[in-house]
Amino acid sequence: MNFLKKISLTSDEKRAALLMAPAIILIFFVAIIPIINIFYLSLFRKVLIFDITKFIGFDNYRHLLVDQRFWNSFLNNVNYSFFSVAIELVLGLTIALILNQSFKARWLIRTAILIPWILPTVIASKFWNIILDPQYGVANKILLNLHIIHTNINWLGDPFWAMKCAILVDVWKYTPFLSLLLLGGLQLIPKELYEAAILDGTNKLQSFKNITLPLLMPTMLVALLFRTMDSFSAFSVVYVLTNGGPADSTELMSLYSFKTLFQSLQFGYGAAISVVIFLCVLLISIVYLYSFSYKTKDVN
Amino acid sequence: MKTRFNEIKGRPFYIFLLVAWCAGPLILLLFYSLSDINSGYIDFKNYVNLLKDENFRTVMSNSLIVSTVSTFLSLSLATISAYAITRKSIRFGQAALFLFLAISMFPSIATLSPLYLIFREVGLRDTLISLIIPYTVFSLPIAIWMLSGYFKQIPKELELSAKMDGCSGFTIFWKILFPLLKSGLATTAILVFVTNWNEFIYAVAFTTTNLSRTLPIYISKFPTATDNVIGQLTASSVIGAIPLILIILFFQKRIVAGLTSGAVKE
Repeated sequence: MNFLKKISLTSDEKRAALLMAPAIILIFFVAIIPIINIFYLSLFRKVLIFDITKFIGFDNYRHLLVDQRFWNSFLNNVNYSFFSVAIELVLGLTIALILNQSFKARWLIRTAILIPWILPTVIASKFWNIILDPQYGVANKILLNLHIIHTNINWLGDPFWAMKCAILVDVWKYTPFLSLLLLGGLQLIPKELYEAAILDGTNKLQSFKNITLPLLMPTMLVALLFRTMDSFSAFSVVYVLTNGGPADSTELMSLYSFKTLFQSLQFGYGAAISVVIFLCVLLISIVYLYSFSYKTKDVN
Repeated sequence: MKTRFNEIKGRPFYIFLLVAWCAGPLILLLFYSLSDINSGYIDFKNYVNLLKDENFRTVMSNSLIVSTVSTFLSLSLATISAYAITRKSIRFGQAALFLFLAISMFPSIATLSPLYLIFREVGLRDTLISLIIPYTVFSLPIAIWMLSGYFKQIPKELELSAKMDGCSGFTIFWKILFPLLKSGLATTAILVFVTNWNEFIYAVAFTTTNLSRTLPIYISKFPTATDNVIGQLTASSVIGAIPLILIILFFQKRIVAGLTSGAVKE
């Protein structure tokens, strides 16, 4: 009886459940069921055009292990995520430190900083497409005039440059967002700490290392979490900028999955790649959340 | 103390660089869309052509319909849910919130193919509804999370005293909580609207014709930067950016507060 009492809902809980029902039902059918379904789908060979649906167990995953193109997209993704997030963090922190003082034209700066964040990734990527065009692009014209390069560079057509360009677009788009987050974190650090540090005769570098960095760590971890997870399922930048080319040098996992799903119409195999992306994102979030709780315990 | 401890030399220059780096692309887009390559003069013909173009008008209205409808639906449902989580005394409220947050982090590609297969089965492919459904649902968790934060800031005593005066639950919500929640609702609405306006991967998978295409898809379909489409491409990009720029101009403080609150406070 006692047990039943425990699980039976109070009147308040019943009312709450009723109020939340529409949202929960929708989330259940449109988010939860598809996530379960994708694991299920990945156990099938499902080719839409031939109307084939056949249970094959873990064969898709076995195939993934030896699929050169998949490993290429995985390594591209690691490369893309590592460099874009690292550059964004360093640049974002620098910008946040520069902005973390009273200054004029706050309105103008805030407006400017929000532009890359708010512009659709598609527009941003198309813009860089125009700028980096080998013949008409402004990038080549400026660099030629400054004598930094001597012939036009085919930025998006050269495997060496294409990935760097994709990272550049990612950095352009997300650094301002990161600097806003970090600026918010910086503004929470009490000014008295720095004043006390001056009295103690510490220099700028020391106070940065001993005050700013540790106190900013929680914010930095959250920002890193968001960005790393996002970049591991990044799609739009490479889809629009290069469509994975040249020679698959910018093909990220999401793009490979998307092409397998909607171009070769292999839904089982495409689902298996999606599952890997999902698990990567999950793993990253667990790692960060773990280190996050560890860090906060440390501070307390 | 005039010079601050953290003063960085040459700050105005860095700030100028930052503003140019962030705003430059938009200004260049505007420049491209307005300049006539042949004559070199300012020319609005790209915009005039676009606005005359039936396809572009459809795509533009698709984007507006999809984003506003899904923002409205998502916010209505999220408000009710956030109210239930924060104002009713329930167990596991905090756990439910974290579950919502986790769901909001699902990568789109992971739900894309099952949803596609369902929409294909029931004949929803290439309709605005096929976009409104995922946009509404996938912005729900984050909207519930944000709105719960705003609800928590409203003191419970307000409701209690209204209850003592004999107000019904609905009156309490409408007359007392809603006015206090307005600014939080606006912030959430802006973030949800922007996300939906910019969404790409569902739209590119679920739409096949201009009947349901949204602006990001329309723009992505332009061939790479060749002379003859660059005007149209940049002009449609600028038009697509206008609502967003207006949002920045009017609500920037709110956006910054909304963006940073979640990451910084916790």
